Amino acid sequence: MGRRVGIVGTGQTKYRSKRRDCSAPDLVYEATSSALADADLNLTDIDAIVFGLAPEALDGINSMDKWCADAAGARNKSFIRVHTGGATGSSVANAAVYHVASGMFDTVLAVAMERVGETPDAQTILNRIYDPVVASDFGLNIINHVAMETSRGMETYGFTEEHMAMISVKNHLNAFNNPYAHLRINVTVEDVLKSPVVCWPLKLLDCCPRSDGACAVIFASEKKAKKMAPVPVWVNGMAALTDITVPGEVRGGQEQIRMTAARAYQMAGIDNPKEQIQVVECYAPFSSLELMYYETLGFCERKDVVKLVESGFGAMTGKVPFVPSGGVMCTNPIGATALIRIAEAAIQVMGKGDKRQVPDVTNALATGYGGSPGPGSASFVTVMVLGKK
Amino acid sequence: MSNNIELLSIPGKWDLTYNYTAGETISKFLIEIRDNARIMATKCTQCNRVIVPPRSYCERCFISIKDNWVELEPSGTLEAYTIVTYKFEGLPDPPYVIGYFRLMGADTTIPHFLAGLELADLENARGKVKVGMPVRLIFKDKERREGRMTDFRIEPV
Repeated sequence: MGRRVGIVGTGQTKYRSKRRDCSAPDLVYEATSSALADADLNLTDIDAIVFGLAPEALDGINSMDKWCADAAGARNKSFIRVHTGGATGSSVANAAVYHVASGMFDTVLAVAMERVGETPDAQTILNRIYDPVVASDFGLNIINHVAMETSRGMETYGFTEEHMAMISVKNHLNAFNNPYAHLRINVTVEDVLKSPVVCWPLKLLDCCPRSDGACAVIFASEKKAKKMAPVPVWVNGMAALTDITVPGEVRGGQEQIRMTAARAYQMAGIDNPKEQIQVVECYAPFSSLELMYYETLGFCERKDVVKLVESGFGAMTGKVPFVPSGGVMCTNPIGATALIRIAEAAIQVMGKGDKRQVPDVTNALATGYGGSPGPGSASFVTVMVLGKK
Repeated sequence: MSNNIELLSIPGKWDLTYNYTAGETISKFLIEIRDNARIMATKCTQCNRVIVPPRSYCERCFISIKDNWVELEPSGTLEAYTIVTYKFEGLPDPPYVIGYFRLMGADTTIPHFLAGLELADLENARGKVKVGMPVRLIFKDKERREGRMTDFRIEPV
């Protein structure tokens, strides 16, 4: 995979439904300067910037990368924007790794932002990601698309709305341990089940919020990383794939995640994830999606998913905690979200997780998911394995 | 985060006009719906997958299939669904059922509303919708068809 690459610092903004105190560049500056401070670096140490932003209509400004470039520290440096929908953040990280692994740059800053709070209904915008001629008449958007995946998943995995609610309760509880998290609310299984149905089987408390915020991660070559960081976090495995398979077709969305994970695991030398990975930051904006990751990321067989949820496998006290940060269900600034997964996984390996720290992390997993496999759209799946060694 | 400063914002609105080009393959597909009440698909000459809405190429074999048309029966199965109960800005008024439908003989699915259900009682409606249930296509009368996916509705058999 070219040169070895390590993470030497991370930075995040506080996430809120509307950060009225910040302009868009202010948010990017907040994340970028935090990452530099975390790594104890100056902007002069950064050789190139990779910037992420998802569909412009969410923010209501075209090509906001231009507005934010200086706030990302890009003056007189190489700067590119990456966009793969919800996977934007992890694609930004992948691109930063490619920059360093190739030998072209030694130290690269990945930063991604979004302000979903600028518009009253993000789903109206996400309806416009599909083929305008054959698909737009039917009100498709991400929530009802995931609801359709979920109705299939309930049949193929055998999970119920109660199991989804258990995931929601766990993640909302975890968010209290994360000082950056957007939603910090106490939620019971009953609350989730009684929350308004949005698109059955998804109810309001099965769904993520719309957040403003930005996240930054600094990647460096092996030689530099060893000098810069007390505990460099190594990118030991990574994979990304794209597909256009629509629900109901053979080899649907879940199979794509399985394939991506298998490729990343092979690179990282992971053959038994349950024993080798101690924490997972998966990209699950909806409770039902996390359930299915238990299988697709190789932590159990399909028939055992329900058993794993019921036994609290993914809880902070469980065998492998899933999303100690509260995850996407509690914070979703769309273009930054998948980079937050990588930042949070790196924080776990560095041992900087404070109240959300999982003990003895040597390997952490972060995933990203973007797009929507419907007519005129594609899905983007990413998996990254981070390690202490 | 703020220091007791009054925080301002100004309103904005995007109001843009487009004319979306269908292209040759989708034009033929929509014209067949409009003029002949027929669903036409393209079929890959290499992997034999039948694709609808039709594409001019097979993304897996990466060959052009734009001249290899097959006609599909106006029936199929419901592969995935949701009952939408929330009013999204600019999207249809709830409740409605959206599904991905696999037409008989097709390897892909199409999105559409599942029509013909009484949705006043959602619990009752939910019991009547099942993944795998058979459905049929019912075309509008010829004079009302305009070359769009809404020229037909899909109902349980």
